[in-house]
Amino acid sequence: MAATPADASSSSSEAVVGGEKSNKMITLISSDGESFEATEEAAKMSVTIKHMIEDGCADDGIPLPNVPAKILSMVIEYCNKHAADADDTNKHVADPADADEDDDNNNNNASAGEKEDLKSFDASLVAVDQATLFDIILAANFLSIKGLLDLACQKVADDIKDKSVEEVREIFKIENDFTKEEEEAVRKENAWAFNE
Amino acid sequence: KKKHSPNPLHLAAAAAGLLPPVAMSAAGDRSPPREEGRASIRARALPSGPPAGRLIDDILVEILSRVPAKELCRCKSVSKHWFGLIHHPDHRKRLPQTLAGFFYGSSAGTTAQRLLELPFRFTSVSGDRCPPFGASLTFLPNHHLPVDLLDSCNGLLLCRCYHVSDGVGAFHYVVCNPATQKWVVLPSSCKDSSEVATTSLGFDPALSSHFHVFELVVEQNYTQDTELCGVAVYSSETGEWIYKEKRWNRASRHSATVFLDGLLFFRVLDLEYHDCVAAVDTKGETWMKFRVPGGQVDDFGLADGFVQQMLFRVPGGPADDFGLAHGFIQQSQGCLHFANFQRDEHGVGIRLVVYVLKNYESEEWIVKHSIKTSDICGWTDLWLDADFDFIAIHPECNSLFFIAGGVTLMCYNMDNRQVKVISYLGGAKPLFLPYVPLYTESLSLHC
Repeated sequence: MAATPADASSSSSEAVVGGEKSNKMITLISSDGESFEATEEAAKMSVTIKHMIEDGCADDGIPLPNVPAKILSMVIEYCNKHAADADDTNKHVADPADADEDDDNNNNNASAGEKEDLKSFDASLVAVDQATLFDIILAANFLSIKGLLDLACQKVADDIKDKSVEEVREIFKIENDFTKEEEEAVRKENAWAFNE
Repeated sequence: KKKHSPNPLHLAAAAAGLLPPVAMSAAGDRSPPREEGRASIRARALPSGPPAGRLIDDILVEILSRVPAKELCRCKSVSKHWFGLIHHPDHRKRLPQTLAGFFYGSSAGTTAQRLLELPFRFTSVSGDRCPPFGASLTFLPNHHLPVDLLDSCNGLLLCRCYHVSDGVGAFHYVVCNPATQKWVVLPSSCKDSSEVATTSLGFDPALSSHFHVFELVVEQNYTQDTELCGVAVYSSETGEWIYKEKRWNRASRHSATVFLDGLLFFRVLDLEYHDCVAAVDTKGETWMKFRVPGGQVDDFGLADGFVQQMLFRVPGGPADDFGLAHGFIQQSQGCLHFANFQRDEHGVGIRLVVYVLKNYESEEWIVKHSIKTSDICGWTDLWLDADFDFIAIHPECNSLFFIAGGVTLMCYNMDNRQVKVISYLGGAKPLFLPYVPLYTESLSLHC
């Protein structure tokens, strides 16, 4: 029996590889009840959300009780930006047969420029106050977004690298629970690391 | 590609597939089995509180693993919790390690090479004697004991093991990691120990999870000079030794070697009796030679020192070194350092100078530090042979470790020009091997 046109179109959309991404939008609901939309592709940068989508739990929107709206919008911004970048890389790779010398150079320049663009996007995303940065880390951890977790953790590491011990305690809101003698002992043990 | 600053152990371990992917260890263990769906997200809701207070340990370790070793040491004094985290065996493998201390002991006077005999002793950088683990290597099975310790490199130790079944004077090499208690026996290089000037271990987890062992092969020529005639290199990747012939200059049996950037650096005298640092790669193919500053014949009578020692050379005696024992190479902060004393006409050390080799192509040594010896705790009569032995430069900072008067382990800080006594050690002229613990499992070792 000949396939009906409807059958043909649905099977062809299932068979699409690489080029066409699903335009399906996913609704993400922040802890304070705000709804955000993201493309499925961007949302899947979160492994947690990816599993939920694949398990069919995402149809009514995904509640994220740990992620406040302010942070969720930043996370979605990150995912959108990086999902698009991943897509472009795929596009460049997709047609090696069509590329000639010039195209290669153009593609390289374009991807070098895009990399710069991405780097400065990332840098400005994490150029926030400590509390927000920690919230981003918690969200990225909870949502299993490796790239964002790496980015935010690296930022914190860079921030504390040049700080004194007192300043580090302030940043993390940690109480010093060493006794004077204990702290002395630890410092002595690691005296080389203190430039005094 | 990961964007964090290179933590060598972390990168190497991850690259070798030894670590779970970074974020997964934070979240992956908690990721819901697929069937749970929404219920699991609710279950993972974290208690509220100040943001930093909610940072779970795994995430803290994630952050700390991106902090350089020196700053990480400072972080130990933030709180007891942080101290515990940084030292915890589960987390150590993800955190950058640094110089823990030195193995030391007497160097056997009778053998041709510098090595440590059992029992090895250990001193930490702060002076206490407790090694971070059992320093007598008792995890090696009996048939590999007793051992001599030849070299250490980034957490791995190179040992020579003797066993009755090997035959008199014969030995086999073992490379081990005392922190993980893993080891591997190497096949024989087929070079007799009398032919080998130095055996060195090359291991850089930032470059590769595999290690190399170098034997600098020498022979006595007709004038009784020790000439380099080649290098035998073992690769843990191939499991085999290769031998590359290289008729070259005079090698020393007693100088420390440095493994950096995939090259083994060692000391030679070139044909004009100029003091040099030489380098060979792990394939035995690239050879380099750099004249060291102050090693020229017209500097401060150093040549006189050479000539005198040669004239009065006692066969087999320390003068075989042609004065190479003075001046010392070491790796610190990613660069090759050379430290030496400039001497007056009597051979007394009057100025300590530390150089860094910035550029292998241009062979340019930059003066990093220079100080009169009289300004280092008032020494005025520093007889280099008796009073002073270089031990190491700290891999992460500008501290130079040395032994004064044969018994006192001291540390000189180049940044603030302060000297500090670390401890008093017994034993005559002990040999020291720096030790940086390696807690990650290495593919090249097994039980």
